[in-house]
Amino acid sequence: MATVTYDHVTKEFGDTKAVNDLALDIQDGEFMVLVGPSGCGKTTALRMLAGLEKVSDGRILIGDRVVNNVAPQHRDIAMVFQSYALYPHMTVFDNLAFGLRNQKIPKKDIDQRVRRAVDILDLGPLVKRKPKQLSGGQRQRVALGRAIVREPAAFLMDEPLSNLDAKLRVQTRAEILKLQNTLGTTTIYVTHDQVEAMTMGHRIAVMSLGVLQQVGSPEDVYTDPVNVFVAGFIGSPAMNLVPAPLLDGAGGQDRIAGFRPEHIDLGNGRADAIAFTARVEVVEYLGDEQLVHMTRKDTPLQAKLPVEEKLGLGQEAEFSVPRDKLLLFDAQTQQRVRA
Amino acid sequence: MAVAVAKRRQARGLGNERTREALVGYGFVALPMAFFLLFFIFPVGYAFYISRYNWQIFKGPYVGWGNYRTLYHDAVFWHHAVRNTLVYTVFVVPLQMALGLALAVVVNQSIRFRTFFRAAFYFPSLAASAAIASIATYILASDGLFNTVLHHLGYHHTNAWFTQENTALPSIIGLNAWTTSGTMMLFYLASLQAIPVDVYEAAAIDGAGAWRTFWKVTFPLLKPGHFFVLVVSIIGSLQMFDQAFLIGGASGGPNYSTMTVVLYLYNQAIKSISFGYAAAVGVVLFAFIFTVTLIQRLLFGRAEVA
Repeated sequence: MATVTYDHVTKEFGDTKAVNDLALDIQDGEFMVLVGPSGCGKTTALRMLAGLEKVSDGRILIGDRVVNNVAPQHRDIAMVFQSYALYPHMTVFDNLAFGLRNQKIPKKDIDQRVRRAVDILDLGPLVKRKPKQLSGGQRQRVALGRAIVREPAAFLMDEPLSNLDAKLRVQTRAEILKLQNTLGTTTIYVTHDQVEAMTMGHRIAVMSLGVLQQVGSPEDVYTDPVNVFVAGFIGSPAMNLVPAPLLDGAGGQDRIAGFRPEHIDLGNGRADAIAFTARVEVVEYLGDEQLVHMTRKDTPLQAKLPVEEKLGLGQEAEFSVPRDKLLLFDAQTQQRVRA
Repeated sequence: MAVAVAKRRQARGLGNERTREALVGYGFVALPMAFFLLFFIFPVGYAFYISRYNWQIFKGPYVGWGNYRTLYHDAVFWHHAVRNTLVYTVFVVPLQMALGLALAVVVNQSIRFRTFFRAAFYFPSLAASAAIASIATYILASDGLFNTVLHHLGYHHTNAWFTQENTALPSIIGLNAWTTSGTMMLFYLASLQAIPVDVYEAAAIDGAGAWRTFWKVTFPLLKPGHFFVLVVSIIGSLQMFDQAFLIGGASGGPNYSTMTVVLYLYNQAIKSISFGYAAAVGVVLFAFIFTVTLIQRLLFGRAEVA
């Protein structure tokens, strides 16, 4: 196990800065999630840590060792790829043992370590099969196993769940978390799925256009976003971000008001709430609650309300949002403005 | 009742749709299939038909298996043509494959002037075999470039390589391994590029060096490529004619040392005007190549292709 440090790391592809001055400290044993939309630089950041991409500027440290010029195999890391990248001609056992054989570890120890990984991931009946004889979920577990047997300083995971169906994704998410808790290995996990980020990471690092936007616990990032991008990216359904004058008393022209759908109440609410009327356009029934799509002065808004509150389509209704749940951002800089 | 009728109509409509789709499909394959039948299957059948006659310029009397019986006892065919062709195949195929694979691995790297190297390595495959044979005759002459270089290296070889019984066939083997390596490179390059990059990245993180990655990852994953190159290479070698003809002449000289099965077939057909006998040689060669290809298919097909 080890700490991982991105010390003002930049990666350029021609004129494009895929990662721009990334400064991030990852603690020993921490589960850090890099999250952001496609092209935000999160995978490039991970690949630089793995040694699969050269660093253009800055330093990457694993523990206290600068690894900029260290070959991937000497970085003491293991990586789980989005495509799993299993060796198609090898059995599950050989896939798991390949890395250990390369290190010239005695056969007895290899067998022992592979058996342990097989037991942890419940791969026992599959050891003699080849990858194409496995389901997506099983391949995923083999890819995890290949990382575990190495007993590395850090696990690097590049969107490992994105090829799984929704149900299996939730199940495997829990398995990865359990595994990380058991092994306590520093893990850097890349995803574009903010739900995955929120549910898995001890901390999450939100990236956009190659720039790190915010790092913090899922709760911090959710409740206290530093800018419009983070506010809009984290949370599902997304935060309502509207010009502040749309809500009476929220702010001036130079402000953007942000409030989460679950913070909207039906009716004029508490004394310190900002009330507004809006026209109900669509109601999505979600079982335990309902998602109401509405418009106020042609601006779309979303509210998450209890299912008991009945709303008719086209109805003009009064809603409110507590003032302490209202976040304000500078319309020009897009940064958070604190009272 | 009305529902049943509607369903029947719908089923009929679906049937018509399927028939039309099938007809379009057959339409697309009809032309290539016609060419295949006309230029590949028909000649095989016709050659077999000819081989059953004492066919010279015109059709002669029916001899049944006579040509095949004569061929069975033909010492020149077995001791020289077949032997040389097999020796040539046994040596040239591994050479072609190894050289083709090595070149493909080189030009698959991210190196400068990669396109130039690809074109340069492929060039010998494009050049006319007559031109290459002529130049090679000069280079391998008694006072040619090759012997001069050998002389400077301390080896004294004064004979022309193509005119000596013991060096003529090996020289053709070396020459052809070089000229065909570009084509083999192209086949291997296509196979190499079909291997996903992330498998190599996984191998790099797993600590496999370049050599180990090649033998443990690349080489086994090239299995479909190996099969294809092997089949093409063996078929091409068993059909070797042009270099032998250009270098050793129609007589396969010196002393039959460059006589091959197809050259022998040519001699029977063109020099001896014995088309029936030549056709029998062709049919035997076809049967041999067909059997070898089937065996290869069984060997490679049984094992799992990644």
